[in-house]
Amino acid sequence: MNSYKPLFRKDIWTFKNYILEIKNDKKRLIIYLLYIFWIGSILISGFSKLNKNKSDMSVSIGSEYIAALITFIGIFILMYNLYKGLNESSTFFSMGDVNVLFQSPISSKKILLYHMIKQSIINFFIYGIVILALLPTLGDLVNIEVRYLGFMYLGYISFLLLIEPLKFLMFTLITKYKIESFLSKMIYSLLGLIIVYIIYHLVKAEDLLKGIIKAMNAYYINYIPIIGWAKSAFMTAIYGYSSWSLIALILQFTLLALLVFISYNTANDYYEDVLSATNKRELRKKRKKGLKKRKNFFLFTKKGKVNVKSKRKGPWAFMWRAKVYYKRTDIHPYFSILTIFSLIVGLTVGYFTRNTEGIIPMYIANGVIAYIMFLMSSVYVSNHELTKPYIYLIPGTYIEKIIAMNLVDIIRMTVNAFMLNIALGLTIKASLVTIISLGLFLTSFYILTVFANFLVRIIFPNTIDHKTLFPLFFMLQILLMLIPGAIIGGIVATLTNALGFFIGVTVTNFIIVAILILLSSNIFERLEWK
Amino acid sequence: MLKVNNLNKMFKKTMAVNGISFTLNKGDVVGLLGPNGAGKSTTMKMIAGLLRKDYGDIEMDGINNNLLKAKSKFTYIPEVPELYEMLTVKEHLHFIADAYDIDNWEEKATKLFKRYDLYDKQDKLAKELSKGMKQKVSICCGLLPEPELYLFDEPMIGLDPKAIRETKLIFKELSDQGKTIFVSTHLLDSIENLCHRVLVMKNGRIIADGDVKSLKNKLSNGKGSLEELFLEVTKDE
Repeated sequence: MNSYKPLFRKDIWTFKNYILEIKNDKKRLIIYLLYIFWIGSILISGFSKLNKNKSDMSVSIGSEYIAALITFIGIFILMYNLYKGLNESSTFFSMGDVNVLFQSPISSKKILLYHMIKQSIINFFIYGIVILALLPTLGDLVNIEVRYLGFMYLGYISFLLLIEPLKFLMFTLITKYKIESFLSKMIYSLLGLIIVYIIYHLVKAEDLLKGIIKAMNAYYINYIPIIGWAKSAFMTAIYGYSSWSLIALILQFTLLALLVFISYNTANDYYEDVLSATNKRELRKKRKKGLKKRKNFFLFTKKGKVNVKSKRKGPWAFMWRAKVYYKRTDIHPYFSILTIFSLIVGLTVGYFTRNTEGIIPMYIANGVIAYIMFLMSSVYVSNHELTKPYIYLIPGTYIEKIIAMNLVDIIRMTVNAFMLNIALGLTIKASLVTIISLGLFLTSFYILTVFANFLVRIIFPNTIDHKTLFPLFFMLQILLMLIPGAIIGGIVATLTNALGFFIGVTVTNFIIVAILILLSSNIFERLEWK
Repeated sequence: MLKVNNLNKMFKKTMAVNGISFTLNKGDVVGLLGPNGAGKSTTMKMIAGLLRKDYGDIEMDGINNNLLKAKSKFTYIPEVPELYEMLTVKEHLHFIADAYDIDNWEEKATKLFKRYDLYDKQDKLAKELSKGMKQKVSICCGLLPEPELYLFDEPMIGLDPKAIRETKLIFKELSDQGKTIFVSTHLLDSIENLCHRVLVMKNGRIIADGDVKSLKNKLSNGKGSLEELFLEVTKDE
């Protein structure tokens, strides 16, 4: 039998089973339709903005910023993955493949080729959602030529498609030819070169922003494989078509084909290499479903013993556990890498907007962070503790349990929220009331997302597919809980000022949270451990 | 049937398997015992070709275990039954039949389904199955190709008593057919009744090799249970 036939047939069955699941459970159809509606609305919103006229000045600045940002993000993603590739391969497989397929008498090369191509085709469409979601924002900043949207899409996609095969090939070469030290030196040298290059431009331009933009937009960057070629194709829809656009795109896809070809010919004993990456992929899926806790920044992970004193017993053991976890995986139980990040963001935004009238930058910064928090809550469900039995078994009142379980996270978030607002507020000379109000606004928003998690688990227990549907329901739940705050905030803002909106939202959020805490006994009684 | 010679495997600074050698003959039912972390699963995975060996040789009927020709000679039933979540029970068997190019697979699969009480669950998706059910499917997938060598890594974990009894019966039938079985387990009573020979591993080395009776005689003059024997040979110096 043709070796590819069983692989292909397996995927056809999988696809058929997805369709059957939808057919057997009509609820799913509504949710998938909602997804389609969401993507459709993004597309309509994006395309409607493409044809709007903008001033030449704003278009020129916008395109410069976008081009620089693309180079910067491209360099960051590439370097990060090259670094990761020194210690870990990428994977195109599931644990089912590891246990069922890998031991079968099908050539490992053929298995690899089939899965690499399959994953590239899937990613070709999946990764596209991000660029579609960004289209309205891009349309606000620059004029986009609709006829060259294909170049933009392919430029962006080709970059992402290249990352995984590159990482895979790199790790294969490391294990096969024992060249880790050589490659590691190459990567650090490259990183050093990039830093020197940016510093050179910063010194030359004598201005932080101008220097970075100049460094990122130098014409020769367009000729660098992976980053430059992708950028050239991407920017075609903004800068216009040139013969190089097409050449860059062809080169990019040729490189992808070449990487797949070399991987096919090099990797014949890669099963062990992909085991760890495949395991991690499964873990990531579990984390997305809230079944596992998200990993913190790897630099702070301590393997040895950590000491955390505990005075209170019963449900407060959850608080002790959380402190131990953060002490082991982060800077401090209450201070995280995000605290430093908040400080940097606060100071940077404050520095660049110090001449702006009023405190609008603070409103924008807090609004953006609240929005990101809202979006992230749909991607990562935070309350993994509900998937463990202890919350249901440890004796104690539900109010105590719910507080003990979340208090450390809430304190950490409060520290971050205040760090951002203090840094930003002091730089732009905002009042103490503003700083405290906005700090509390972010904290209340976070607490609301935590409680929404409990509610959504009661309303939608495990009968539905958590992987695809849970985040959406979670998002809807938060949205519903935010509406009262938004209404009250709006009324207060009309009667007072913009700060009134944030104070109104905060107060309403805390009232909702207080009601939920009072109702926690009723909430918990309905929760089941599955 | 299976020849393992001076097999080594290192994970970072830990020597998981340290120069082990053994041979399994046709029709042998050999148990692999050892405390947690002894290197049993690593050995199994290296024989199955899922882990790379740092040093040493593994041959099946004289063929290197990583060659395609050798892959048709064995099946491996892993410790954790990870299946394709979106394939049904029957589709798993169909897939195995395609991959191993098995004729008349449906008849064989039906027999296995009946033995493992999976007959009425054939059209269930793997993600809808309990852990024990998944283990049964995993065992069926391993049995369907009818190879010469079966590698079982903790096959009884999660199985109900009827499935455990069925698995033991299958071991016996396969042995009678001249097939070779290499089984890693913690269930010592199953080893005592089923295995012709046991290998005991500790810290990556084989510390005892022989049939249950002779090992008992050697260590405790034939007195005591296999459990006592196991504790005796694996105790820390």
